[in-house]
Amino acid sequence: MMRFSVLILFLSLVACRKKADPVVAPIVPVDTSQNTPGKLRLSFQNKAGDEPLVLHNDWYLTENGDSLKINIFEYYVSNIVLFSDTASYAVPESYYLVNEEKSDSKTFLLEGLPPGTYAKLQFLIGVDERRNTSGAQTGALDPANGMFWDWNNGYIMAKLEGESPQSAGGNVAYHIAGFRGENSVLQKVTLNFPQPIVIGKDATKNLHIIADALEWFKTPQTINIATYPVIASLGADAVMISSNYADMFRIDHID
Amino acid sequence: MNKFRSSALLCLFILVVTAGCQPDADLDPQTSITFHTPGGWPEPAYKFEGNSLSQAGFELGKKIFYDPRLSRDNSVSCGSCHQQFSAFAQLGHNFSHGVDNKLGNRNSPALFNLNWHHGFFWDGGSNHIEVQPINPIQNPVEMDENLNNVVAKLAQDPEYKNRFQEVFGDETINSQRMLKALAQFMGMLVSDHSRYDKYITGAPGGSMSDAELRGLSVYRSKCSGCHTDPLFSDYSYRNNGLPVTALNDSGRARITLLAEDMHKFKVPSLRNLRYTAPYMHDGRFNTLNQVLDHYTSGIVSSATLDPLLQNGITLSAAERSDLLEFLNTLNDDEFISDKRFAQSE
Ligand code: HEC
Ligand code: HEC
Repeated sequence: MMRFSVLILFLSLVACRKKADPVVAPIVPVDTSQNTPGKLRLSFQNKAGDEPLVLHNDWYLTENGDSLKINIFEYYVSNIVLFSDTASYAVPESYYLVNEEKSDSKTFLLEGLPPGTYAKLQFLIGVDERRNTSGAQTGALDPANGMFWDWNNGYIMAKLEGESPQSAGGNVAYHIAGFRGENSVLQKVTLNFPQPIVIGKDATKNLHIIADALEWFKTPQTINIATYPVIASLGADAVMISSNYADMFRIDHID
Repeated sequence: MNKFRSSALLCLFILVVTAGCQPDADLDPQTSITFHTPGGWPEPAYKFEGNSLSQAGFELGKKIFYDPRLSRDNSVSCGSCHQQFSAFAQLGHNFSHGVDNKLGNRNSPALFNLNWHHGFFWDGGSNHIEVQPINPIQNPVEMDENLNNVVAKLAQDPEYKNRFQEVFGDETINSQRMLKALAQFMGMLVSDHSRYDKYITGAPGGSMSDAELRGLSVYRSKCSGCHTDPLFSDYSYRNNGLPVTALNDSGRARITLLAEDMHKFKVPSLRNLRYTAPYMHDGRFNTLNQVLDHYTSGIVSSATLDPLLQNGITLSAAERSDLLEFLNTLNDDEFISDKRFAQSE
């Protein structure tokens, strides 16, 4: 019975998952009547609930009521696509590793964007299958960044490490990886802009995005740290956490 | 006019985008050497895409392969566990020996014809020849080092700076360049000069005795379903019925998490067996006679035992002796003594 319900849970998690096929080619330039390519800055701020995320120091309470201190918080943002009402533009070579420890990793400039009025943004949390399987990469994808599994090749799409008294060993480590089939943890995020962003004509806008680390521990599945202190292999547990963090992003403001 | 403007703009975007698709555009080596697919062989899986093969790149890869600075205490190189006289396996060790003489839990495989492999390691845990070396470098029982340190160590050496400059156009040293150079060296390790190869291609020195030819047909009927010629492996993952040991290495299932992959290992090639003992993923057999004893009387049945071996393999005494004669024609002396692959003094 227990087994059966676990199975149902697993199946429903798999079924609920949005299919995350990587976006490839350029799409349609949005407005070709103005010809100067534009820019857009993305700035990520990591939080824990309503609190700013302070690594190595502050304690937070998860949905389950567990105490958690976070020491490492990193995730890939890739395959960025901008949408107008009628068209879309895939930002080429958009691979970024946001690492709470490194302030310069939390903000970056998208350049060469077709001018136009945009309504929303889409990206992948993680690295698409192709870049997981096409050999030695560099920049954000340099395996020396510590986000690459050498024993079962592929990128760690997102990583959270910390401490919790609810963990028997004291530590918490979620290394979320997997890019294929039912083990895929690739999550596609869509963020609608609160008001349209005009790119090209006006000064470069800065889109401030908040990522809430506590979302890893709630919705759809409340995580009990005592049961899941460490997740560091492919499979249903990793997929479960990825479904949780799929909704950790929201737009704070644009300036 | 307007149409012209917008299509020009479109072209510009396509240009920008396609330029963006080639992160390796900085690889611009001068002299090329060529990789040659031996006649009658299938297309390799890796054709140095995005990694322009050059003499200088190959030489740089070789230097890195034999450099003990890739290990934590600068004591162990790739070449310590992959020795040319052993067809780049580690002679005489069932388990590999790494830094501090630490023992691994698998046998160092021979390295040749790697461009035809679709996955690396006994369990296929690595999906590309370029990223495969990250594992031995970081593995605590192999080199126990990290990529950043290795890159920093190489960058301190002016000789390396010159070499990277020569191969990649500037002296930047990073993990990608190091790994691509290693792949150039390893990919060139082609073994296709055994007596059997000469027999097949009609090259001089390619004569086979009657016993060897009888052995060839024994091989064709009993072994080639998995150890498929001309590579003498289909590089698939299979369970050949070895008894599970206390270590209980789950093999391919460790990577895929599928019960159907339990105790499956990548089929090794039958080339160069004279140099590569001991045999199997854990080096459990020291001689080919022991291997054949396994196939005739040692196969253990299990849920994942390969269908081709459900009824074991029968070999008469004559067939066994002919088969051993044939296997002996697959040894490639030229490969293990090829100066191009040897550590430079
Ligand atoms: C301590 C001994 C040791 C060292 C040092 C070592 N290897 Fe290996 N190598 C092994 C073992 C053992 C395996 C098999 C591992 C497995 O299957 O889990 C292996 C596997 C490989 C394979 C895969 C072969 C196949 O058929 O799948 C390649 C390629 C390889 N090593 C290259 C290298 C390179 C390049 C280096 C240096 C960066 C290196 N090795 C350093 C022991 C070693
Ligand atoms: C069903 C597929 C299959 C068949 C048929 C088969 N083998 Fe194998 N063979 C394997 C696999 C898989 C391994 C590796 C097993 C391991 O290490 O766990 C292997 C390993 C070997 C090895 C060890 C090589 C090394 O480098 O360690 C030898 C030698 C060998 N086989 C010879 C033969 C011969 C000779 C025959 C025919 C009489 C034969 N095999 C038939 C699948 C097969």
